[in-house]
Amino acid sequence: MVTCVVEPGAILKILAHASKFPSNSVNGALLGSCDGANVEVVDAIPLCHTTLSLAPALEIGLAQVESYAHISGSVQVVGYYQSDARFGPGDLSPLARKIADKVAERQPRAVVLLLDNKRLELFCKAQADVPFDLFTKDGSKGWKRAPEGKPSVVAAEAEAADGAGAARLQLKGGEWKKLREEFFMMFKQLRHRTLHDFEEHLDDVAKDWLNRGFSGAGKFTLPGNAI
Amino acid sequence: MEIELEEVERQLRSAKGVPSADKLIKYLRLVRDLHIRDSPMVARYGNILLRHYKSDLSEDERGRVALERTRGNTTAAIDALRKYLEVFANDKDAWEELAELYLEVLNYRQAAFCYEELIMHAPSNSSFFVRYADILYTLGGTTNYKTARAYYAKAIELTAGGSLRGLFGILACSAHIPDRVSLQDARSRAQIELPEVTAQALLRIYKQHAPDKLPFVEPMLAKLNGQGGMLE
Repeated sequence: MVTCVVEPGAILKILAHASKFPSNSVNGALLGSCDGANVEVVDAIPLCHTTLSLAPALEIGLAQVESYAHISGSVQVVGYYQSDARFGPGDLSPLARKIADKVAERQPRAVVLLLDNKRLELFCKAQADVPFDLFTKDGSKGWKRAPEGKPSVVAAEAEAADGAGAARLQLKGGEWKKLREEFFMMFKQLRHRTLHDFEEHLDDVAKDWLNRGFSGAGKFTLPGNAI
Repeated sequence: MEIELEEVERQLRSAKGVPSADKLIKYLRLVRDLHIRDSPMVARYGNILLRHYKSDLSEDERGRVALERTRGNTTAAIDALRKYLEVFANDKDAWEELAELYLEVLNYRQAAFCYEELIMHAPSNSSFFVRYADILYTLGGTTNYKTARAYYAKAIELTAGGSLRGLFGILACSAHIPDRVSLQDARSRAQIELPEVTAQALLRIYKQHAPDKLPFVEPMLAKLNGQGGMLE
C-alpha cells in the first residue's frame, strides 16, 4: 500500500495556482522523495495555465524542474498535479494520464493529485475534508484512484485504516481543517496572485516559478497564532 | 449545382420581405463553390445577410458555442463554431476559440489548421507563430520539427530576440532533428550554429533578468545541445 504524505505548503501552492486562474485548467509538478512504498511530497511547482495539451512549455518546464531537483540533491520529481477548468465531476483526463505516464517513466512510483472542483466547493463550505484525489499507477492497468471509488481521506491520527485501499493520501500534520483556514487567509490576502507558474516565467523571465518565499516564509497570520 | 443556384435565386427573388438567413447562406455558398464573382446579386444578398442577420447569427452561434462549452459538450461547441466560421471567416477570436477547442480534444491537426488561418490574418503576431510551432512540435516527426523550428525563428525575429518560448522552442526542435550536415554548405553550417547561438541568447537573458535560475538552466541547455530530446 502506498501512502502519500503531502506537506501543507505544497497543497496551498496547488490551491493558489488553481485560484489564480479560476477559469483555466492548470497543472504542475510535485517534488519530494520516495521511500519504499511511501511517497512524500514536499513542494509543488506550478507549470502551465493555458493549453495544457501543448508539449513544449510542459517539457521545458519539467526539464528545468528536474534540473533544479538534481542540483538540490534532496528532492526529485515524484508526481504531477492537475486541476481542470470545467466544473463537472473530476476524472483523470486522457491528456493528464499521458503526462502522468511521462513523469512515471522517470519515477515509477509517481503519484498524481487531481484537484476536483466539485469537492473544492464542498471543501470551501466545510462540507468535505479533502478536495484532492490521489492516483497511483497500477502496473500496466494505468492510473487508479485511491482508494477505489471513495475519496481518499485519512487523518494523520490514522483512523479508518482500511488496509483494502491501494493507496492513501495524508496531510503532514494531519489537519485539513487548519489548511482550509490557511487557504482562506491566503485568498483574502490575495497572496495567490503572487504565485507565478512556469508559463508566466516564459512570458517574463523575472517571474520566479520556484515561488520562493510564497508558503515558506509567509507564515499565515491566524488570529491567536504567533508567527 | 447551377440548377440549384437558379432555384435558390428564384426563391430569393420571390421572397416577400427579408429572405431567410438559411436561403441566403445557401446562395452564397453556391456562389462560392461555382466561383461566381461579378454578380450584383451576390453583393445585394450578402449585404442583406450582414445587415439584417449579422447580430442574430453571430450572437446566436457564439452563444451556442459558449453554452456547449460550459456543458462540457466540446464536440457540439466545435460543430457550432465551424458553422459560424463558414460565414464569418474573418473572426479572429472565433478561430482562436476553435483552436482551443480542438486542442482540448487533442485534435492537433485541426488546431494547426486554425492557427494557419490566424497567421494569415495577422502575420505580425508572434504568439500565433509560437503556438503554431508548439502544435507542430507536439505532433512530432522530423518534418514538423523542422517547420516548427522555422516558425519559432520567425517569432524570435518578430520579438527582436525576446521570445523565450521561441528560443527554447528552437533548442527543443534542434534536439529532435538528426542533422546530416556538410560543413561546406553555408545553410547547414547555420543549422549547426543555431542551437549554440540560441543557447547563448538564453543565457544572456537569464543572466540579466533571473540570475538565480542560472544553476539549473545551464545544465539543461547543455543537455539540450548535446544529446537528444529533453524528456528521453
